[in-house]
Amino acid sequence: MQKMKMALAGIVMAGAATAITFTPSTAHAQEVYVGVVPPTYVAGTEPVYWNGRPHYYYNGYWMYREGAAWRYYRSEPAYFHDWRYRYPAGRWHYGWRR
Amino acid sequence: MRFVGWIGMGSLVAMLACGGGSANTEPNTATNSAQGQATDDAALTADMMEHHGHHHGGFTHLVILSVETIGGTPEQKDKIEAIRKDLIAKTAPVHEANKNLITVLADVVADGNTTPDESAKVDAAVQQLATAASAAHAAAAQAMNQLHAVLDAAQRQTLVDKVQAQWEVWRSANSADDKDNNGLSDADEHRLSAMTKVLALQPDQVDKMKAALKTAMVNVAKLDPAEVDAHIKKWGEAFVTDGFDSAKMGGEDVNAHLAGAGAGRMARFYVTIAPILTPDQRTKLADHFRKHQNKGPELPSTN
Repeated sequence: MQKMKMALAGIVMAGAATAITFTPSTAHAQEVYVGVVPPTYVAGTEPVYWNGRPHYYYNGYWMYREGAAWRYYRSEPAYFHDWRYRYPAGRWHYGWRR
Repeated sequence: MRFVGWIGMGSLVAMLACGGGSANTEPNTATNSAQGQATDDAALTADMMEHHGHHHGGFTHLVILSVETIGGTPEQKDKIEAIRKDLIAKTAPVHEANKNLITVLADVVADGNTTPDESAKVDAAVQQLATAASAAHAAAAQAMNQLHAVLDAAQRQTLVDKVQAQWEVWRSANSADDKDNNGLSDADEHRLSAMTKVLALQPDQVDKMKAALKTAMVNVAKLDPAEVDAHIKKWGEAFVTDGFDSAKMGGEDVNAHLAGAGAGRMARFYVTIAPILTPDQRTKLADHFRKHQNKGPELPSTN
């Protein structure tokens, strides 16, 4: 049973761990790196749209999908900095809160 | 604030606090620390797993859940919310079938003994749900097309991503896989773990339930995940194009199989463990079912 509990927690925890210990990919102009956003977070969180992409603020980083990969900005874009200033300490998710 | 879903027993037990906040007005506030993130993720996962483990409406249901957190401008949100309510109204028979199944299961659990008549009622309730889910596809087609028309390109891709994510969570909550190869499906282990906490099951009860489940679940219909994967891929590729037409997507069978397999598995689980519960545990579980049988996507009349 313990194994099962661990497996369930892994849905998010594996993603979280990966996001915390990002592995740098090619560092181009925007300095984006690979990360992971868990499916529960994507399913239950409202994104912020910028540059024509939905972004999720996960684990302290603004993440977006590019194909099958998740990427984040090493330097927070000003738009998101301003957004977080307007809504401090934000985590933007709605539907699954009670 | 809008809350979708069955009240998560897992998160209730764990007493993991979810922050409050106003839906669709401004962001909720919560800690940004890694530990806080993990705690929030665990609570969110517990709630979503419980929802998907107890509400079965097929692919259309996954879309309805996903629509809620698309986001957008205030003007868009009004339109999106109106369509979401229309989708829920069009799929009301699915909601009613879910309620009926939970009611039937509450009766079965309450007396702890599944009579042939009750067993037939359970099977009929599962079939009713699968039939309603199949019909929901066509019933929701127009609203689905309206939704497509309202969304811009980024939002369409967002919805596709969210539906895929909901499916992944659903699959985890209802998986017939046995990853640790102990004879119990992952979904049954999850439910049994939740029941152990909620009903304070004793070790000997858990052992008996495991033995009973290993036998009882053998012939329960299993979902073919590849069928759902293929439909979601086909739907997703079409939805991001301008020429999307829900009526051309098919999906009645996927809706029926997804809802029927999930509901059938859930029903067999509770029918199997009911005789092993004490009278107090049966009362508690039946009351819980009855209390939450109306939970699910909000109906327009409740808003």
